[in-house]
Amino acid sequence: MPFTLTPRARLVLLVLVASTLVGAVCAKVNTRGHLQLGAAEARVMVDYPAPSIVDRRSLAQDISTLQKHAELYGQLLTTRPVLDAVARRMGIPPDSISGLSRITAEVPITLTQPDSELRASQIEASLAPYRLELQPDPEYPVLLIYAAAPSAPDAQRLANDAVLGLRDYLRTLAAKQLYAPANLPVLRQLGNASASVVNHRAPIVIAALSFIVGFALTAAGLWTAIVLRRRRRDGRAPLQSDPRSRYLDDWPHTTRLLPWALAGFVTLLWLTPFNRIQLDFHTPIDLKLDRLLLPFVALIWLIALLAGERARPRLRLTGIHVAVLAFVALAFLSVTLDAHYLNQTMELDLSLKKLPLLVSYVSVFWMMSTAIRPSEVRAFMTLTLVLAVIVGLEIIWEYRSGTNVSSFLSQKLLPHPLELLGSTKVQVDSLGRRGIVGPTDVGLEAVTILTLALPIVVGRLLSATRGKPRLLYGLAVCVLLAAMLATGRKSALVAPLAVLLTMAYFRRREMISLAPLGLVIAVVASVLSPGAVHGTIAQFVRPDSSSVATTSDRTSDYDAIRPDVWSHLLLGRGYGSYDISTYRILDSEILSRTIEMGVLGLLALLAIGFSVILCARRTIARRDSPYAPLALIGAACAACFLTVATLYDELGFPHATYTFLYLAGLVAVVAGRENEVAATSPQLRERALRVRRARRRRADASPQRRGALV
Amino acid sequence: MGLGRRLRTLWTLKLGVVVAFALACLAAVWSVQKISLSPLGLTPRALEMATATTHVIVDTPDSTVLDLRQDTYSLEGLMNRAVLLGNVMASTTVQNDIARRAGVPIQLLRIQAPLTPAQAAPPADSENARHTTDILKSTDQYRLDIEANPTVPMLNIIAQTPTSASAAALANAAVTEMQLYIDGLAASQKTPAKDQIRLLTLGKARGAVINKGVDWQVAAVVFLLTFAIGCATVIYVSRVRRGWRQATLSERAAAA
Repeated sequence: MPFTLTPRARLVLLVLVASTLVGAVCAKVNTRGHLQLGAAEARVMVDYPAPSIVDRRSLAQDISTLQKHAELYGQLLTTRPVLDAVARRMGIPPDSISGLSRITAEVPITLTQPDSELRASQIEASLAPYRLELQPDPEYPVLLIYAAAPSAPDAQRLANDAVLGLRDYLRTLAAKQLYAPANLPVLRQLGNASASVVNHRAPIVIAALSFIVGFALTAAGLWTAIVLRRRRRDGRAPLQSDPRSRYLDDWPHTTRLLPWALAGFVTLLWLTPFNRIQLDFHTPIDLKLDRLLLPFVALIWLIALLAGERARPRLRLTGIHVAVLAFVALAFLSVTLDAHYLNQTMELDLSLKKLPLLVSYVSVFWMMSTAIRPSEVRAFMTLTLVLAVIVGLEIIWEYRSGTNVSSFLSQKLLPHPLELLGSTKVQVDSLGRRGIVGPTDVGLEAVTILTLALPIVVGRLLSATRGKPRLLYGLAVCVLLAAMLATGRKSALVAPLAVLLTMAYFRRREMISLAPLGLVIAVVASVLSPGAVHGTIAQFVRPDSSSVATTSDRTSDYDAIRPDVWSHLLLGRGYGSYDISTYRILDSEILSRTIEMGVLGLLALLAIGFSVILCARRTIARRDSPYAPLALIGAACAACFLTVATLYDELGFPHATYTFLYLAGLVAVVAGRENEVAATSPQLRERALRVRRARRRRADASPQRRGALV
Repeated sequence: MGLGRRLRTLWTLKLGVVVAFALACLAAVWSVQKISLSPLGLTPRALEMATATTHVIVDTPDSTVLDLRQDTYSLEGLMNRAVLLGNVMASTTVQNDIARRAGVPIQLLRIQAPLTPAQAAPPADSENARHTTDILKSTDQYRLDIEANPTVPMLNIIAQTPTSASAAALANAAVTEMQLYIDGLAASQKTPAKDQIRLLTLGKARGAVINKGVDWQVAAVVFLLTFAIGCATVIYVSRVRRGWRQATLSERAAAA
């Protein structure tokens, strides 16, 4: 019997073949040109003419004088006349060589961060194929010369010729100034420059990345076109309720492994300082605790794909999925299209380390949105609330006692070979604020995760009618707010405000009814964290509030990054390639995305937040839907995500990013299901019917209705 | 997924899409060219960003670069003079002279005086004060940044302008004017040659554009945004029209 393919299989095969071809072409095109990069290192000692400083009896100030001259020569090597002298020695065009000197002296960090003009100059210098970087030793008269060139021998020659070029320049200057050549400082090169190729794998890596991006984008584009065409022909299929809701084994009353694994991972996200826990031996990438455990969760998800309907993950593509996938696609595209430049500046590895991290973030969103049933979302929200309250209590304890409980426990309980990085003691920043962080890395991140949990408890408070739950939810709000304020960050007032305003927009009447309770909550919160409320508010009202370092540094970033933005306007310089330790510390995800992913990347980031609000909007409007409160939580979380994006680089902090994305995944599960009351679990169905009956009773009792009936 | 539905809606509203497309094209052209109606013509906008750098060592007649007898204290004294000279360059008189020599509009030139550990950010009330709106400013700016190296008596003079020629001219003009200022001061005060400071200019500045091809990127961004907003408006207007028609029909039905 001849082997035949079904039409669907044929279509899939066609898409795969076309995508493979496009991927191969992309790989071929993007690996054209010279990709190899050599680097070399040389050391030069600035010395007196005979006898040397090594031989002569010298004072500390003699060393200091020579060290200053080493610094001066380091700077001289970046100037045009000396670079021209080096280029002459090398036999290369003068424009193909550039120099950069690092400040190694102890100066305020604001002086080492490049402003707009300097950054533009650095960008111009980074385009040269032959580059020198000079670092004077801060104590001794030794100058470190790092050279980068298209090959290792070239780099070695460049490092050696830099010394000779500098010597040539000093001789020329001495001749001009009639200075005795015998009295010139001596540049003693400490051995021949050592050189090597620093990016052996660059062609393979760039080819693989280009293939993956070309393949994935072509496959996605073709498949979307096929689906749209089919829809046009057959009409849109009616929205079906989730068939898994028929099974009455919703988490946590289930033996299904996948939701339990996800719940376990969520617990890990909240309760452990996982970003500071890693293996105590060297690995090619930093294997933090989340990256050690996430593959197991992903494996369970993959195995569940083979299971029956009851346990199988189910994809329902929403606008949130599209926004998240578009962001990931643009992140990969930005690195692929700028791979040559990043390879030249040796920043490609940085991006290649950040891309898997982005994939791990998104995988949590993906697994949540496919594995969790609509009827389980409320339980996961409850879990989040409980964990948030635990973290809140921990932060309050840290504020009052100075002990970081999660770090302390991790240090005591972690088995070998895991180790906790950093200190368990509370640090103090430049404004004198104590670093109250809980399980997170920075106070702002702690504020973010607690703010993301705030709409859950406020939502519950809105719907609670009886006294005891109302009291408990009220206490939970107090704990969360007190913990946020205990971090001492100004964002502790800004981020919750964004959440509350979003909730007030959708539920005005109900939120106003909570106003008296708000006063009580404010008093209790200030009792839980004494001094924190006053301290946080004082930061806004102090006379120099607009010129304190945290504000002025943030403001100066907007001008300083203009050269980066204008030189890579559309797609940025590549996701993850802007190293804050080399350039500037950017306290804004908006700025980071604009630099690394361009205007399109920034729009994609904003689209993630807005897509959650837009997808949730219709469900929120259907007040009788059991999913309306859950969608409202999602919209408020998205508002929080967008707000904190302007306050710090949130994607660099995994607690906040994971938490937002898994909550967005949960919202994606319930969004657009406002009409699905009958298909949900009995509890939710009963609740929806109760709400409907109550609304009908209210409507019947209204005077107009009574009048109409009469 | 409403994407397919919306695309389908747009397919049925071809006229609206054509109008949005035309508007997006017009906006894209406007973003990179100034459009004048009388006389009809297009003038390119200054979107490129050019940079030029030069360096100056503030030196003594017995050059510190060569003479190892110049100790740390001499170098620190010269460093302070370098900061002082940098501030003189940013003063109004010298600033105007630099602008004139470089052929740059005086009112557009901004000079950033050297920042030091004691004054690590520009004063809030200065013309160089930073704002969050700075990121939206055009590249049509003439800026000169004078950086005093915190460890050696060297001034880095970095110009940022829309063209490479003007950037080089600005950086070089700054050095020339500073030299003229020092010479003038020494002449007026009859300072002995051995006590004068000297500027060791380290080469002429060469300008370079750092964002070649930015025009098409700006045009692409503006086109995409305008077209997307235009299409969204078309869909919205069609929904409003449909709602209006339905309301009219309902009213007629109720009246009948």
